[in-house]
Amino acid sequence: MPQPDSPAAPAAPRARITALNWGLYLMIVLIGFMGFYILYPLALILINSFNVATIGEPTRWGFGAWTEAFTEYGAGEALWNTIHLTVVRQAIVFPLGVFLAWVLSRTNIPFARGFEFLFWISFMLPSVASTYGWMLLLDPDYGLVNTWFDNLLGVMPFDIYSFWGIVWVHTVAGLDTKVMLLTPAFRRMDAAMEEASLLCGAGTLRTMFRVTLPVMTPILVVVLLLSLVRLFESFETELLLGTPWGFFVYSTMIVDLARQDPPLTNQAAALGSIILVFLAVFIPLQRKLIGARQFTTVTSHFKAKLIDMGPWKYLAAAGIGAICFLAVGVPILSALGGSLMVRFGFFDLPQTWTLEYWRVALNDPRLMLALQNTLIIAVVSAVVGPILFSLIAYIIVRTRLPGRSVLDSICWLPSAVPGVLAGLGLLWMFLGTPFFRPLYGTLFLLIIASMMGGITLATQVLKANFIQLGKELEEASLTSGAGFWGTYFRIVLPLMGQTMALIAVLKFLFAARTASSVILLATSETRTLALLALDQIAGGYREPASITVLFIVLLTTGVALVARSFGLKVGIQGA
Amino acid sequence: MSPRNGLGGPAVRYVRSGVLALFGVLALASYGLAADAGAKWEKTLAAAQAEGQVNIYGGDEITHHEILGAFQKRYPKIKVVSVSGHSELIQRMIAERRAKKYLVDLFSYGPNAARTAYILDYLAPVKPLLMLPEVTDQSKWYKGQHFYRDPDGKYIFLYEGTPGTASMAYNSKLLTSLKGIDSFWDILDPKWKGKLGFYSYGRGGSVPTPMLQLYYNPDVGPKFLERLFTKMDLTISRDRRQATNWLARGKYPLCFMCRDVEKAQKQGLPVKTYPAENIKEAGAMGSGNSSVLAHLKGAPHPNAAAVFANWFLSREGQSTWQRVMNQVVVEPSNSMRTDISKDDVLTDGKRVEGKKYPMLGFLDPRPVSKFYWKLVKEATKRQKK
Repeated sequence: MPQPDSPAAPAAPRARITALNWGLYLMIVLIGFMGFYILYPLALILINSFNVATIGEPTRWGFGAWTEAFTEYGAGEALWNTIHLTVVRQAIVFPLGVFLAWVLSRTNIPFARGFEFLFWISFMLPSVASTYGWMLLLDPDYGLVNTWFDNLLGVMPFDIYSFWGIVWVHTVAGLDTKVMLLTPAFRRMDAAMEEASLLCGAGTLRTMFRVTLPVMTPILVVVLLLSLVRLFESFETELLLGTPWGFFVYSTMIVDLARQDPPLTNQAAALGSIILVFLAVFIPLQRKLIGARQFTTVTSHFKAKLIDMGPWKYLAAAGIGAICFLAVGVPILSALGGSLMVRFGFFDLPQTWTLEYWRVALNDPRLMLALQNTLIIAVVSAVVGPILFSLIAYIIVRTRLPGRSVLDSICWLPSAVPGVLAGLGLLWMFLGTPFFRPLYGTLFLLIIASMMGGITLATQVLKANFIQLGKELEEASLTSGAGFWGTYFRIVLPLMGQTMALIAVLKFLFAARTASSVILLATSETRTLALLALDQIAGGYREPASITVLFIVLLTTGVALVARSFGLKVGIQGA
Repeated sequence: MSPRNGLGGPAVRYVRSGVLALFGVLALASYGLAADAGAKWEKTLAAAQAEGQVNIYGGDEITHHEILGAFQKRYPKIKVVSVSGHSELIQRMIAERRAKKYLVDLFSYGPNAARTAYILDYLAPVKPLLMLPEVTDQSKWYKGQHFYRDPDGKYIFLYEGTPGTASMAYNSKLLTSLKGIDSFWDILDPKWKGKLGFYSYGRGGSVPTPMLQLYYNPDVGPKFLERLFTKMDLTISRDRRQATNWLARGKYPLCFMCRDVEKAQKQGLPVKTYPAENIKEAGAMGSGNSSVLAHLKGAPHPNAAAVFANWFLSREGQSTWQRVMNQVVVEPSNSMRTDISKDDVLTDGKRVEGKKYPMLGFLDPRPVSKFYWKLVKEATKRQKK
């Protein structure tokens, strides 16, 4: 068995060699499995980007798809827009998210747990609901907020169809990930270091900047990089708010090419391959940033204590409450409005409200089967995902086995590839592999494909948390003869209870709402709720589709509640 | 003329007897054929039930759950497994066939995807599948014949005969009517500059069918499109609902290509479509806006495919299809069958009795695609504030 990187237990040479062999075997299996699962479809995409044949023609190799994608479809401008937008967004969202997570986890602000959970809910809400909500409020001509301003002051100051409109929607909707990921990590930080800083005369803010944040570097870097690497993913908000004024992003362009009739798959693959180049720079950078230093914050002497904010805590609570309302209230009201209004956003119709859409949605014969399929896929993902990815993260962080950097790099790849290309890659992979071919069309392949959702997020968050976790507890367990698996399951995982619960919820959520990467694998027998929603939109049932999406949100919220109560009972307890 | 002279007498009797005999033979023959057809149908149905399943790929025109539900109700022993989607379906079929997975029995979508399948030699003839008399009787179909959209005239069956629409809608509060617009060229009048909305639809990046028709229409053509996009200061939306909402809100009084207008009107929004018959260049049939049915080579359930195809093209099947497309999906859709009620067809989809609609052949979207998307992109940039 692989031994954690521990100097504590001097082993006999033969035992050490056996342990190394086992570790190597495990590493080979993991790299082989993850490599096949992630690299193979991506390699197929890359190879196809050099195929210049049109659909149905025999394969011909060349650079035509690449030159065409960049010269004729304006990919350069779209790439610049994407980078510009991402940098501006993150410059605002990241510090704000860090601050919110710190306040929620390290201070005595009231309702901290409730606020944190509201950010979880926000994460579960579809971005398109949020975008529609903001369009209703901030349309430059008819937005409700603009109309109020017009009535009061005679001006309509906001324009959602603008660069800053897009930034605003992403800011409000993008805080949730930061808070979700950072709050448990901040909470696990040993208060002794902050106490020492305060005792030495540093104020609360100085302590935060000089002690708390530096100690939290790994998770901060991971969260920032996760946000950056997903810059190619964002789609609906830019489509709705950017197109009316000619603002295109990279993901919109890839989807457009892939869905041409006949599809320009090779050109889309060429654009997708650029993302791989971006990752080739990005992955070593993140390893360099967090690889060299010691960041342990949880040891056997762990002490949890909250900073007293005094009367400021009420002001902070009011501010965070307002942010939560914007992040959760707007999309929920938008989704509910979409399902209960005859025409969402039109309050002056002869009949404004209706229950008809709910009747249609609840009587849709496909709903129960889709719900059942979704539950199977999501539950398996939520159970297997955290165990598998925590094992990978543990091996990357805690062992010195060769191949760790390869495994780590592989785990970064899926987050950057747009779903529409990932779906195509998975289709080619499953149909091109004799083992999987007989399973094509079954739920099993959808489960495997759904597991890909959130791999990067899961492994990197787990990695950052393992870095925080002191080794002495594991060393004590190993010294007591527990062995690798015993230590892993009886010491490591319980200490990571909250994070594991978080990862389970994330996996459940990703699996429940993933559509683009599984759309080419599903049939009417294996359709999930997310795919049903797509079918409903295409079939003219837009409002019932928003009800199907609400079902997904309710399902994941229920799971989040259960996981949260479980997570709070295990793992490290905050003060 | 005396019956005894000329053609009277025995000659008449002979002729009469001959005609009667001929009628008798024909009646017996048709009875025999009908009996044969009936027997063949029963045999096919029994085989289909033994197969127990039919696999159908396509858009809403065939995979909509109300259409499949109606078939399932009629033939409960044949389970329908469907894969719904759009242009990505052809990708999926190609990948499946390369892996020697022959899963599709029937395919229905616009003719572009079917044409790709035809070029790839994936299609089997549809005609041998058709056996119900009400389907094979061509007098019940538009112009008394079956139309196929492939050069061989047997693989891509055209069952939709929706005339090309005017693709124009207006805000009924701001404009009481669109009198004076008799041609597409009329909307290029400077008085409409800055007052036109445009919904740039197309699934993903494909070319919207009306654009395809305008491009290939010799009376309209690329020149019209170029002037529309470069001279008229269009307000472009790429979201179906957003475009129609903006029309209803009055952001622009006239919209080119806005969708779901009839649905919005039903919901109480002040929007109306402009009838195709008012535009002299509108109204061609049989191109990209027309759904087709294709049968795949190596289909795993050939008998079930035959049962489904016959049901789908029957009066019941086409009535169901027409109702669902017009009333549920709210897309103007008119069956090529002439013996079913057209009451549920939306205004834009109705055919005018006696009017001759030119039947378009296959319109290749490839040359149009780059031209169209370049115009859209440049026009979108110009509308930057």
